[in-house]
Amino acid sequence: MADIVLKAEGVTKRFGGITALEDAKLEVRKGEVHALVGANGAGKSTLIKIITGPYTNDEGKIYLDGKEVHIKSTFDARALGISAVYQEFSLINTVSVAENIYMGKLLYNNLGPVPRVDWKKMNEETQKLLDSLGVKNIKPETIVGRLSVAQKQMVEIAKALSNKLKVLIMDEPTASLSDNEIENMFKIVKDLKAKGISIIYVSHRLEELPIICDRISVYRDGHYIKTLDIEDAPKQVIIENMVGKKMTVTEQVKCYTDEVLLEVKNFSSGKKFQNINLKLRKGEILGIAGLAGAGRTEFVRALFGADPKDSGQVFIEGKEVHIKSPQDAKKAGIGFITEDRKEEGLILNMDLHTNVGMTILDKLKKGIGLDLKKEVVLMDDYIKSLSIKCRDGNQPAKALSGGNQQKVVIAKWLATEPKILIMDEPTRGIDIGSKNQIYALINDLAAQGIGIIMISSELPEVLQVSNNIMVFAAGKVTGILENKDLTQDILLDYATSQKAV
Amino acid sequence: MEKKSFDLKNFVMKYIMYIFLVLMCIVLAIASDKFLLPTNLMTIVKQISIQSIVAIGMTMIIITGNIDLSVGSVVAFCSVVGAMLMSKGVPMVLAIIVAILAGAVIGFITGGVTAKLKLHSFLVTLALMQAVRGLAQTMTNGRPVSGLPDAFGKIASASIGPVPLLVIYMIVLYVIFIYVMKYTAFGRSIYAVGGNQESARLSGINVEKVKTMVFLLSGMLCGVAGVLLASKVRSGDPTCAEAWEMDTIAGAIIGGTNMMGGEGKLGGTIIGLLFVGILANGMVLLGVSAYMQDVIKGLVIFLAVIINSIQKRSQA
Repeated sequence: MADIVLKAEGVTKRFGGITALEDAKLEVRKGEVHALVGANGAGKSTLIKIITGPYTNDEGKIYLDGKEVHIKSTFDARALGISAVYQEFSLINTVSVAENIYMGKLLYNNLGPVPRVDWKKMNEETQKLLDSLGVKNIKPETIVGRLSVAQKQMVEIAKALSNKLKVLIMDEPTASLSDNEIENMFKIVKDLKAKGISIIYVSHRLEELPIICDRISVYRDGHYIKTLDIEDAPKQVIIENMVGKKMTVTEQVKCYTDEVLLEVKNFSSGKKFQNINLKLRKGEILGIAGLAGAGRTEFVRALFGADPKDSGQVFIEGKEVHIKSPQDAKKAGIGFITEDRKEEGLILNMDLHTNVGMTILDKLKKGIGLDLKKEVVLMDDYIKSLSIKCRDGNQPAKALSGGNQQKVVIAKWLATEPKILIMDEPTRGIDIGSKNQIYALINDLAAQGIGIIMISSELPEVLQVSNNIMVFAAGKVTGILENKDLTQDILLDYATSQKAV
Repeated sequence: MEKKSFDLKNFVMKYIMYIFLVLMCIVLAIASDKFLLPTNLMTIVKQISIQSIVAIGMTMIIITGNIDLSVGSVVAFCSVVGAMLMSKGVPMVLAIIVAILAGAVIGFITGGVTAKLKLHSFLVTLALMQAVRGLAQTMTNGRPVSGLPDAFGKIASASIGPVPLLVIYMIVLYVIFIYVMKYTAFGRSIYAVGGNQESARLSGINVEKVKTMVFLLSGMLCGVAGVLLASKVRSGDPTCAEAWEMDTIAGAIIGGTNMMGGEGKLGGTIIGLLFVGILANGMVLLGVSAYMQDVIKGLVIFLAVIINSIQKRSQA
């Protein structure tokens, strides 16, 4: 029996009324690469954040080398020898590699009367660290902002190594790396392993797990499912465990015609997404599935003109339209319900009818002024037809619950009488009751002939609502599927695939 | 019963600046027998009138989430431009139009650069504040341009009955811009841009255009103020309107405009300026020393900022 370095037992974490993680466990052996897998919302990130300090667990115990530890901050974790390299770097872009590595623990010399920062020694030590990682193309003096993503990752790892390191957590380390860089990364992981450091490896790319991992632990809906040796866990087995046995009944309303409403050709934007094509018919609900970071939001934002694109053509009802800004998109008949309703959808301090009026200022024009009565009447109509729970249209948007705020955002775009409605995670963070209302509304809108593109990270939701499903993986479309006899397993298989259609 | 007392608290919180204003007037009326004289009251309004026109633009700019430090310099520049043209024999009306357009052009440049290059308006206008004032000084060798026609002087000094024209200009412009802010698509876009720029952009509002237009209008209003100021003192003075950016910002803030953008009313700005104007007038009447006046004015602005932030929190 190998030594257990890190052990978590019965770990539970709640946010308000929502349980993000319940009775979770994890055992990591000395010198192993241990993968954590699970769909979005499975609880992996929460568990990691508990182990590394940002969150504290409500229940459960964590042991390091057999002794119970209480980790209250990232500093505690680091002092114990636990460090993490996240997707979003914690490096400071404006200072040097060496200074980043020694941030908060600068070395001083005592040559003069006042202690002085010893840059020479820090640079030397940093060079040693980089050498030990076999990194040649980074100098300790370089300003971090000038480094590539892969190089920054190396600096993060070097930073972790500058403390005594027992457990290194890597969150999607290969997500933004090229094939060469990935190979290099794997080499470094193996080196660290050989030094007896244990690595907790989080990745959506199931294909790479057999190359690099020893064991995997699967989580689902905030619960620990099981731990498997990698030899016993081919991709199908992993997916089965990620999804569980429950199958969703798929019974969507199919009301689309053959009339093509929107056609998108060759949409590309740098590394974000490449060569995306789609066809949306009148009354069709097209679901876009994929894991976080697959480029779905980036694609629809570019389609809507919110972000620039490198290339791509858009045809609406057969005619090419040039969309360079949200104004153009609105004029072309596209509405966009954003992922983040608080930051991008609403003006929280303003009342509901002003929020709804924001998209239709040109339609409200009357003489030199605005027909504000029309706006109020329109809002009252939407309050009724979408059953928005509020005092009245004069209430500020921030006073409403998440589900009702989302309905206001939908109202805002319905007011523009769109032909096409893009919805990015329309039910994120809202309760199940409101969710069902929004599904019903989506079906309603499709029945009226509106073409709907719905991004969702919740596979059951995609399966429940969509007529057809597009799957994104790493900026590419890996599948366009009719929603017939589809299961979460199939979608996940596409979402973790690296083959574009 | 409990509900009623809660409402009272809300009422006090909401109108606290007005309550202070009334209280201050009562105190001044008791302390000085000259304060309530109609001529004195009219003097106060007249004194704030030109500045209040500049404050319209400033308030709109702050509502978009920006700031303009160059307004004082632009006022001086426009007054100099108008005065120089007139002294060279250019017809009065044409000179006035050119002066106002000069303000509009500077505003357009400020707004355009700020919006297109996504620069902070603080920095852009800090630079322009220096440059434009310097330009006005260079054009005149630092001396006021005087000897302007009598007819030009009438624009600011004449009155209709007991009401000075300056006060009428102020009222007319406020009525127009209050309407614009409340009842037009442009006004609503200004609030939307300041309330949540990304949300406004994604709703199909042309954020760059709105910002540019707001600065352009503010520049025009500075031009109007420059012409009126030149008319009032019958000369174009490159050193005039010194520190007006601070006075107009203070007026807007005391009047409840949110420095973070998205919230504010022109009606509040005029109250804010009246507040400062009455305070200054009262201190003169009571014989407070000029240095002490600055101290008190500063403290009042400080107090207003604190009150505003408490108001915001009590709403949340």
